[in-house]
Amino acid sequence: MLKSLESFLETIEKTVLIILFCAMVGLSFTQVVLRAGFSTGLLWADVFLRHLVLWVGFLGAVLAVSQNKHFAMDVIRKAFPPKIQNAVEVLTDFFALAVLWLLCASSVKFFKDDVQSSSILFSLGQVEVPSAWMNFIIPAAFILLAIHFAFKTLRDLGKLFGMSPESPR
Amino acid sequence: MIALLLIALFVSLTLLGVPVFILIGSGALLAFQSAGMDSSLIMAELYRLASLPALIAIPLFTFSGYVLAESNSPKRILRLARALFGWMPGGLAIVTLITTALFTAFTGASGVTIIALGGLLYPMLIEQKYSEDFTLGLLTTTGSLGLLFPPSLPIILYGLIAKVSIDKLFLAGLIPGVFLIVTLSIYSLFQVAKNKIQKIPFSLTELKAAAREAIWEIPLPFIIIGGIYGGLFTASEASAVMAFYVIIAEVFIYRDLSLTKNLPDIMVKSMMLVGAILVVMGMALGLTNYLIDEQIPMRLFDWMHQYVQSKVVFLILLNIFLLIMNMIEMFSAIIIVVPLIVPVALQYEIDLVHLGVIFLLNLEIGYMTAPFGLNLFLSSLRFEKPVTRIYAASLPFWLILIVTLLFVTYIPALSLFLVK
Repeated sequence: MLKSLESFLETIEKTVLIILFCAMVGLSFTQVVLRAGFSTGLLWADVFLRHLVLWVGFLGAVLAVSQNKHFAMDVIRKAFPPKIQNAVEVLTDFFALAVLWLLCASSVKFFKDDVQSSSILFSLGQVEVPSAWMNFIIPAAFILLAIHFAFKTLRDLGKLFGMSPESPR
Repeated sequence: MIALLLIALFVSLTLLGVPVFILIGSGALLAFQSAGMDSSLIMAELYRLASLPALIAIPLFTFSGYVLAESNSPKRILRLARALFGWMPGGLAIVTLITTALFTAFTGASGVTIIALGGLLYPMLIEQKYSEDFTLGLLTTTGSLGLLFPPSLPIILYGLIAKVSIDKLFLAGLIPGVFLIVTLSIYSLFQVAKNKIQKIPFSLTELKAAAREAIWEIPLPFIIIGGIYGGLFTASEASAVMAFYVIIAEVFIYRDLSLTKNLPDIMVKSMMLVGAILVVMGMALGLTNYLIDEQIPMRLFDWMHQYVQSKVVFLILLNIFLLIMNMIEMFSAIIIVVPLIVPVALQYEIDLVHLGVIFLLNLEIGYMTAPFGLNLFLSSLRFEKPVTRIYAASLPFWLILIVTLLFVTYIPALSLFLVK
């Protein structure tokens, strides 16, 4: 149940990441062709691309949680016996969750302030794009990071108390 | 007292394996709290990521490297290099050095070199009667060789964080990088003489066949490295060209990778690495800015200056410190240490481009420094040898690299000659 919920969420995140990544490759290459070939360029594209990096990067960071791809020093932990490794992992999970909770609060506040300031990031023809549209990824990333760490914590708790996971990931 | 307790707490949390970005995030939260600043300012600092103009080079080069690593291009490039240089004395060792350096530069030293190329090169070297210890040591070393060449990810990261021109850094790394390969080649030649290794006969037909096979990959280094050195485009433009090019070559021309299955997987996998780097960077921007506001680097300098007046001694200490940091976690090391070291280094009148080359070379060596260097573990896994055996086999190579590090550190001209 939890597992399918997590993988459902990950499917959505992956889909968004892939679409945005393709846009990033296409648009950045177009910019090079326009500059090198025609000495011109799309005015809005550079700012937009820099924000796209945040979107694909943070989505990658969110997806990295369940794969344990975040940088951590785990050489020493791995030397412990399995049961203690488990317990330590649960401990560090709770610490991570607590920190992420505070970071979520700070990112939501940052986002709210940004919405209120309603500053314009760039204009695309007639449409003026407020910075909040692009910055939405910041609170979203921290909330998703917290959700995925919560899934991980539950999984590690299950391992610690002997409820073996249905299938090893 | 409280400060000491906090430091002890941080160290133990680090050792227990708390993710680095969480640790830095908690440090930033604590720092902003104690300074009475609103915690949303941490996010304002993180948002500065979006104003770094060359940021886009990180995801695009990382992705391109993953595409190359997962396609058959390592095999093709290796075949070509073997046909080109295999006939020389010590040919295969030199082939190893050149292909791995090129491959690491393009894949950003994420460990794929040992996994992808090591497995191909190991049986070839053994077959040519290179000793097993030499082979293991060589392949462990080459896992990070090439960090000094464009478009390596750590160079870009250093440039972004130290606010030094990435194009200049690419130029500065060239001579030290070549110097490193030449030194290792000379060492290999001694091995060849000792073990009476035969040459591989040169064959024009094989060279032609290998070149025809790799015809779409041959232009890549010329376009990217040549384009940057020639001033045709900037590092971030080169990354856009390369990402586009590798998709066309590996997916549509060679058909090594499928558009609908492999390519999306590679995008996701490579962005996990990029994401892991970005969150550490984002959190560190807040924390390091606080530390700089609190004049911590200046205090560090004042304190150090009482004991260390000479630039040379400072550089020695810096090298030791960096080796230890990089052995533990290299990406995080760049992100956290660079902003704090840069102001101190400036006080000692060290050129930031030169500092970058020292930093990257330390990184390269840190990868293979016992007991925690990543390459040592990767080799042990890949070649199924105990890690202690790898420690012993890579020791002579490690010593050679340390000597080159000394040269690069104390002869700034090696790095700065092309830049000036």
